[in-house]
Amino acid sequence: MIGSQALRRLANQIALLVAIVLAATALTFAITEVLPGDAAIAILGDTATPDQVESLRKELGLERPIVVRYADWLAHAARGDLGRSYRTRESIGVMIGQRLPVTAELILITQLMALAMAMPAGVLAAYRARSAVDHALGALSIALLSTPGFVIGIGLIYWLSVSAGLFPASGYSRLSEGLGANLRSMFLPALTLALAEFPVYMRILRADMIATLQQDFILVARAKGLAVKDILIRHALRPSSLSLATVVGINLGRLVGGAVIVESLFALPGIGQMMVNAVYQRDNFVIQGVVLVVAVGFVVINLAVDMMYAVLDPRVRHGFGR
Amino acid sequence: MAIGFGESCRSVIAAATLAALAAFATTAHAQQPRNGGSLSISIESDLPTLDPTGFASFNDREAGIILYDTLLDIDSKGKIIPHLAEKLEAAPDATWFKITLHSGVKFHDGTPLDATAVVAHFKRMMDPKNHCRCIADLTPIGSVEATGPLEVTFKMKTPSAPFPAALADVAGMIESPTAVEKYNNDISTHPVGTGPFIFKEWQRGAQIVFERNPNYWGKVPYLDQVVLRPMPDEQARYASLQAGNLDVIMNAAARDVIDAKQNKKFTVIDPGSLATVFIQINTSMPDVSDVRVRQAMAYALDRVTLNKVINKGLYPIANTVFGTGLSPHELVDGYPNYDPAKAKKLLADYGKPVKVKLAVNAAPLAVLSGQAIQQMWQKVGIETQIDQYEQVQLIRAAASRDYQVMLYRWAGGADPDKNVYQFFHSKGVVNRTAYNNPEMDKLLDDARSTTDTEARLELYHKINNILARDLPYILLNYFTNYALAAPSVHGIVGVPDGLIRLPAVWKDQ
Repeated sequence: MIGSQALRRLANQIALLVAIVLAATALTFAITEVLPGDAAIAILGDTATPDQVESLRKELGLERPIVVRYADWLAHAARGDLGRSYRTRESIGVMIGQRLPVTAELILITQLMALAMAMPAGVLAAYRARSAVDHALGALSIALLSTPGFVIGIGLIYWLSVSAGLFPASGYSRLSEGLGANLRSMFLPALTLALAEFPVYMRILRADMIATLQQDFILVARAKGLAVKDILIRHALRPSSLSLATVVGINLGRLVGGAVIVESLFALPGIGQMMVNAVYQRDNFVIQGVVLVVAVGFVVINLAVDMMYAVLDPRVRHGFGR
Repeated sequence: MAIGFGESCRSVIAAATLAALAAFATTAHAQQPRNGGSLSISIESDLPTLDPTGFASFNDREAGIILYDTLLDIDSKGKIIPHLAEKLEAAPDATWFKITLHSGVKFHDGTPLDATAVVAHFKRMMDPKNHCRCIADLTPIGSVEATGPLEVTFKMKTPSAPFPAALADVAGMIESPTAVEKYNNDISTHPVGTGPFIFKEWQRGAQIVFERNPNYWGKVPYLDQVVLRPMPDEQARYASLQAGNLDVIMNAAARDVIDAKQNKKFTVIDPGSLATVFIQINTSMPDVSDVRVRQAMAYALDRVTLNKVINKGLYPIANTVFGTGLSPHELVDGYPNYDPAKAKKLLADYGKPVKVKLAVNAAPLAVLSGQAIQQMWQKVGIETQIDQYEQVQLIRAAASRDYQVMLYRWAGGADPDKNVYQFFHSKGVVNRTAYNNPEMDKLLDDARSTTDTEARLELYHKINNILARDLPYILLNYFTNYALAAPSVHGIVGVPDGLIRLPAVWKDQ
């Protein structure tokens, strides 16, 4: 019974995945089409004659109607061929393959950093709700939330890199250059993103935790005389993490957006930076490729988060609660 | 107390010793360039290719001169000098040119550089299939022939006095014919030139690494390695230089140049300029088609204040379209300077209300410039609206003359012709101002038809005067590609194209 339910959910999710990917790529195709100027102009620059632009446009296939180009792209993408960049003639699949690990690492480290800060802070704020500590954490959250990422980034560069000399101000060291160097080059960009995620995670955990702490099973635990630490971490944290897990999952997709800014700022060779360049160059198939990968990633992660609920809270597994 | 004294005393001595050592080291270095080291240079974005047929931007050309040599080069004054070609002969009427190559030069793959390689190069660059941005420089070529083992003769379709400047640019970057055949479409990631450095590795979006060419035909470089690092963010570039993660910033922002000049921590390299910043006017559009309106717009602009506000006064005010690296630089008999009363009078003569749409790049600094210009124009009664465009959009609007007035910049070429002919000749391929003046056409054609520098200078002098009167452009300032270097870097010589010639550069270790 449960098996068939899970299968149906999986089938629904896959249908949703296809729908979202179609909608996202079609929309991006349309949006990039609306931008005046195209790859031919971007490649040939400002001294090209109209004839030269026209001939390159033909060669790139840009003169065909948008629907035809989209259908053509989709047919190739369905077979795993994302095409070649107008600008560099490189295979887009290969380009994404080179860049995606950098962005994935950035996002992973960001999430770990944000959670490492938010979980103790959230638990503390809930346990000491309305105390001075709680208010201080609340004020810090508001301050961080209302500061744009690039400001935080530049601030961190000047503070931790230019003044303190602790981390490189920019650039990327590959894993092959050593884990230490790699993590050092990732630290500031990840911290920049994590400082924006931290307040959200902390506030969500705090709210859920306060609700959990008022439930009967906590009362029972207290009555049994368990230590505060055990009650908070063993009994209250897990059932309070459902919303947090959802938001962390959704944010994986949102962080790709943050990566666009942070990768440009710190000169990291991820898909965010690649996307920015592609937009400037009207390299439409590259934009499409990145959007496709991000859309698929987003849906798959949401699916994974859904399945994690059951692990986190047995009540979901047994059909109680939410 | 005593301990404190002792400590501070010790540190004073230590500091003094260090300072003395440092001073000694600096003087010693100043005399003796050192071999070795890796130099990292920031560029604004990753390169599209390492194949010269795809080179366009400033960044591309820097990679180009690292990997490839140009046939001719320009010196710190902007004068054309020999390079891979040790000799250049020209017909007095500029209908043919003959170059003689250095003997014994080899590409990085061992292929000898000879006349055949050069001819193959030009055939490739001129092939319309390759869409070289350099094509405009090459269209005047009628034929290219090897007239000796090391001698190449170019016959031109029309007189082409500016042609040598093309050989000092992308069109003159020679690639190995063996490599072209071997790698074919993948040549963009397997570049082989004769240049001072050899391609080693390209980590997309992060860095391009070049290593010293030990068999370089010229002076073998001091540096072991050069790394070009794409860094899109201006502030991050300067912070990286400050943090010691970067040795050189190319094309530094005005704000950072000013800061570096004030705190004296970095070497500021002022290479002079070929480029100008200006307001270009589509003379086929209403109101601005009348020369009185254009003159009023020029007189209404307080260019000195504008330059102070926008560029902190860093760039010189321009009265000609020729930067310091070009001989007709500032060779003009007057230019409309700030005079609001005159502007109002010209507008009164014109008699109708003037409405202007000013197209600007959406970058913050360009928008700020636009707003300052808007205020100045509105003060004399020119109603001004600002339209923001992203760069490709701006180029498209300019190319299709789909604008009225536009804030624009032209990087400039190493010959005066490249800053005027294509823009102001009635048959110019990128005449964006719809400017059409038979007198101008004749001057431009004449300047192409003689290699006599004095005669050409006189012609460009006249051209400058006409431009100052007719104002298809309202000139604002020259644009200098400043570079900033860490104090450990020595030997950078400014050349007006702003590119850094690396063989003479060395680094303390």
